[in-house]
Amino acid sequence: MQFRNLVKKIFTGIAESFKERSAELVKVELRELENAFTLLVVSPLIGLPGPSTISSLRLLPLIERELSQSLNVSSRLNDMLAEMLGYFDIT
Amino acid sequence: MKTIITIGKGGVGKTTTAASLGVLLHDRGFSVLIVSLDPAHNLLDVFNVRSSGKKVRVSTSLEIVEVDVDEIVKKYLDDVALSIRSAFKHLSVLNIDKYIDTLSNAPGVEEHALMNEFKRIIEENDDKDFIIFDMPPTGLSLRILSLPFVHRSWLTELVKLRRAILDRRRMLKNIGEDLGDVPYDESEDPVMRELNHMLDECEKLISCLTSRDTMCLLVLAPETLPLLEAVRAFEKLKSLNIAVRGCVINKILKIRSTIPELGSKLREQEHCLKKIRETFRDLPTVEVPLLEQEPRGVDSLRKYANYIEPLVDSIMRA
Repeated sequence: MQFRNLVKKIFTGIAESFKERSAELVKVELRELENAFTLLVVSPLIGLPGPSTISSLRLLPLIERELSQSLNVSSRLNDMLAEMLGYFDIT
Repeated sequence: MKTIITIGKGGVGKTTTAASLGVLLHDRGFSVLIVSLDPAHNLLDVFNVRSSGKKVRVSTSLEIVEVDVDEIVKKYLDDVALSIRSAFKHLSVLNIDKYIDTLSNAPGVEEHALMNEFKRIIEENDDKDFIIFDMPPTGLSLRILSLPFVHRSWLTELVKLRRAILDRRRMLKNIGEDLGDVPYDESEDPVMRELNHMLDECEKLISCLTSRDTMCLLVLAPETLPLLEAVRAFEKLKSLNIAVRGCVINKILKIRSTIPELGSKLREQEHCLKKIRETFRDLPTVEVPLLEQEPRGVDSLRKYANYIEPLVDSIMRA
């Protein structure tokens, strides 16, 4: 019985660990997708080619959270290695 | 309601064509609105009237208006400024007006404001039988007309990207992650709502531009550059699915006596006429001689209208 519980605990632990790892990866992917989206929206406002300044202005108030997140990332872009290691939790 | 758009190089007679077409349709009993979207317009001059940017009633069922481009750009930016101010209330201490003023010189704003005006005029004048748009020279006209198409592609890509973002958020939500008040459903995401709203606006404009009731008339002079521009415009409009229903070859020199100084000019004209007839052979085409005087006033426009009358039948059939 104890052995069965032990095996169960091990497998549950493995599943939990996979779940956490997957969640972390999805979070990283989500953050990068949000950064890409923000960059595309603000592109006509920062000198990158984009079809419409007006559309950007219409979307701008709605992406406040994503925009501040992107600004945080851009402030750390000088240290890309640390950023990448941080993504994959390598310390 | 039918929409007619005159397109051509600057100085070929777009305004005269639009004005006389309006007079012709009015004489046939239709209610007509002629709109000049050309920043350097002279529609009112052609009708010999004066106005301060408002609609002028030439007769009971013929109205004309010159759109004040600077004014509509300003109004458009004011609306944008208002929405930004209401969304960023906490930033109200900053003076955003200066930034918005700078935007009036940003690339694309003029085209966007003109397209918006085009849409507004069509929506607000659906009681008219015909709305005739006298457009700016070809380059700007094509940029304005292709704007909703370019915009739609961009918005479609943004919608795809936003959907991918919402998918990832939903995944995280499903495995019990706390997202706080970050939206994960399309219907609750204000960004998605705004994107869909803008996409709807584009689709409406595109369906208006590509409908059977919207048609372009090419206006050109029998010279090399206007011809090249007209060919490019024709190809571009075809690629956008905007119908071109006729061609006006204007300002044809018809000289009985021989003038040596005009010899090469006449040879160029002959060559261009041949090329135009060949290139636009499938289009109803009318040829208008260079008149002794520019038509000004309704009576004078009626004389010019005699030359373009065959086009009206093609328009009516459309």
